Amino acid sequence: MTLATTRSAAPGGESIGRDSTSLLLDPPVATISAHDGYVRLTYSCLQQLQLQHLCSDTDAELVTYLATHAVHTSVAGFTEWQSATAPLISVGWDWYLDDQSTRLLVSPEPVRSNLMLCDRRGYDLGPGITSNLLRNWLASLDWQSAVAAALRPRVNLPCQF
Amino acid sequence: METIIGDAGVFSPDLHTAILAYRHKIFIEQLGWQLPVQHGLERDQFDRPDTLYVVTFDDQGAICGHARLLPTLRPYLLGEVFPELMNGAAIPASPDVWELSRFAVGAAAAPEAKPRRTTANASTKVLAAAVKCAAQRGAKRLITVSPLGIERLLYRMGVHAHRAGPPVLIDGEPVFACWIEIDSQTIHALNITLGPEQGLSEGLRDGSPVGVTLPPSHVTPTDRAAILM
Repeated sequence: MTLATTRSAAPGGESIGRDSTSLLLDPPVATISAHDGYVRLTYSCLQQLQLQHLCSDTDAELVTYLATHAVHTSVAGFTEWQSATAPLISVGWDWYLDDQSTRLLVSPEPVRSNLMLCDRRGYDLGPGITSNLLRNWLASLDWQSAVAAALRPRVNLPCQF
Repeated sequence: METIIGDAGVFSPDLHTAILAYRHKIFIEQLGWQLPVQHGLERDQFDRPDTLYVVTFDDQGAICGHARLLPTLRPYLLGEVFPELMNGAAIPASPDVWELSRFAVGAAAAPEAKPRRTTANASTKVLAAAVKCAAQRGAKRLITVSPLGIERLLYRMGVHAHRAGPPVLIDGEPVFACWIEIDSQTIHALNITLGPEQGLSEGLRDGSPVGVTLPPSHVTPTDRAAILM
């Protein structure tokens, strides 16, 4: 008997970001580091990036976890987005429904990605600052509509931006 | 909780069987992963004589945690089965990079019991043992193929982890390749002590050692000899 780990696969789409259909990033800026696997960008380059929705779902464990951090909500989950660039830029974050305002907000958990943001001289800003800057950037985007649409009709979420 | 590290070639047959039975309980029965099974044991082509296992035991002597370590200079899970998760980057093949797989923490409870793989404290201890073991063998980073939820767990631990590319849906679950950097951030987050041979600065060696003591009863003298840490 052969004992082998094998696999199968599939992905999806809707986009946020600037109006451009895809962003042609300057190759010296946006390449995957052979050293650590990060894709490096400046923040200004990030602001021109367009992301496409990949998948979203609810997560009951996250509701419980957020409650221990004084964030009380009835529904929370994760969402995953990726660029149309090569190499792919992947960004994922947790969200929750603010029951009072009925808006979807980015959770206090770090924003996760394969990005390392750099300053203009090419120095890494570090994973913590990168995550915080990604959070700031997300605040300017309408990701809520895509998340609400992805979860409907199983979960009816408001899609206020 | 007590931890041992060794390979199948030096573990007793009973202990190696117990490890594979634990993986069957966790990954097949509790999590429903579609993995190779033989006689109630979860085992694949990467369970070789040179494969390293990190195994933790609870106070009753039952296995309560597991991780598998493979050098990337030989065939390993990501390189052989999931290469596209690397987002176009070269598949790691370096003495600096080891693969962590089959990471699990929790009792091998009845199948109807809810999986408890994310017990934070226990997860930290198993990961710390795996990172220390890999670092002692020259690793500067780990690569994993994991369900997306593991990424959140790693961030909560404070470990320096980052994805290699976007997740891919496999059997309906988002799976991704994740880098774990064995750097000062990870060393501090896991409270690991590494010697100078691991190339870390003096200032990084101020944590308490990962607790590696001999586990309970069913570990034989052969297994004790196998403890490599």
